[in-house]
Amino acid sequence: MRLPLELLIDRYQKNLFAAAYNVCANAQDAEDVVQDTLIQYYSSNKQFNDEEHIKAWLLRVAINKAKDVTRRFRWKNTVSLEELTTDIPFEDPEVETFFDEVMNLPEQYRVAIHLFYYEDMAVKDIAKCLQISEGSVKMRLSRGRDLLKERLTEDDDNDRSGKIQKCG
Amino acid sequence: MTDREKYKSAVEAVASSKMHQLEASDIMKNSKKTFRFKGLVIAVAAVILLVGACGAAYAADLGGIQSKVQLWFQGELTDVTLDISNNGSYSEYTASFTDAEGNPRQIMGGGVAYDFFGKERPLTEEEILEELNAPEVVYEDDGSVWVYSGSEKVEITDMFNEDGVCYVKLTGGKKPIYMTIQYQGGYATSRSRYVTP
Repeated sequence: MRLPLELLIDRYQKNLFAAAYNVCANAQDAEDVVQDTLIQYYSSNKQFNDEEHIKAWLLRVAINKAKDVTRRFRWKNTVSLEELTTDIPFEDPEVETFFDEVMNLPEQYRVAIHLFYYEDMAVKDIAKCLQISEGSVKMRLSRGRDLLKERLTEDDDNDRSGKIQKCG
Repeated sequence: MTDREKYKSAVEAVASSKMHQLEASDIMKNSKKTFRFKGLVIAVAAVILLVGACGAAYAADLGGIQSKVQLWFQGELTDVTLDISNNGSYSEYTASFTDAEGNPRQIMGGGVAYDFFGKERPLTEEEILEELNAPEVVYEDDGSVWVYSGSEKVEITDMFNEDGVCYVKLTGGKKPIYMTIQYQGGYATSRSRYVTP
């Protein structure tokens, strides 16, 4: 089966953008990746089993294209993450800190975490999407979350010591 | 708020502030450009194929050798018809086969070797088979990169370093092959160590 482009854009543009942004950490690159991914879908005659299959394929292609972009144009990513996210209206500071720390994780951990948290994908589906073993997915999720916990605790400690110094 | 909820909320904020709505018509317009470009590439390839095929036919009239061999093509052991013609001091070959998806394929090439005294001689069938069986690096449309060598298939998409170089050891044969691959720029192999790019 195949679905019309309008419908795919409507349903999955945000998912593809989010996945590409997770890898590139750059909105312009992420938009280019989404466009290239949809062009690839439109240009190919590939048939899919169902809509889930299409979504999984689109995500996989977008992530791979985003990885290509970061490899080829690494020099472009010279802006710090703080600069990139300063104009984003986050719901609350806790959400912003959490997102910053996810984006500061090594790429392989944050992609797995993105698919797990945002796409609600099961370990076996993440493994298929990234073409790695389920064991590797579990390892990436576990190490990623450990690192995240460690860094968020450090942030908390720094905040507290800042407040104590201010009080003192 | 759970970590999952925090992350989802953050991604929603990023998307609503940074993402611009795409139009299907733009995708279709850009796809047509891609098709035209692809068409050009195919036309060029067809010319080369035609010239190559004429060359092979001409050489075959002069007495080429045809043999049926089995070669590894992208991890599949494939029946191949190999036509070799020696044109003076160099060899031309055409390997014809049907790929896993049922499409007829041809690989053409040729070459020359130098003997001990520096005199040119045509490649032997064994040398041509060795060339055809050399590892192959394939860049897929979905962005993944694979190395095929014999029955061995290794994904190297995530193995390129910051300079676009990947080092991979293939262990499927009798002796290991150390490959140094430059992204989209060819590769070098050695039986004893990685070649420095």
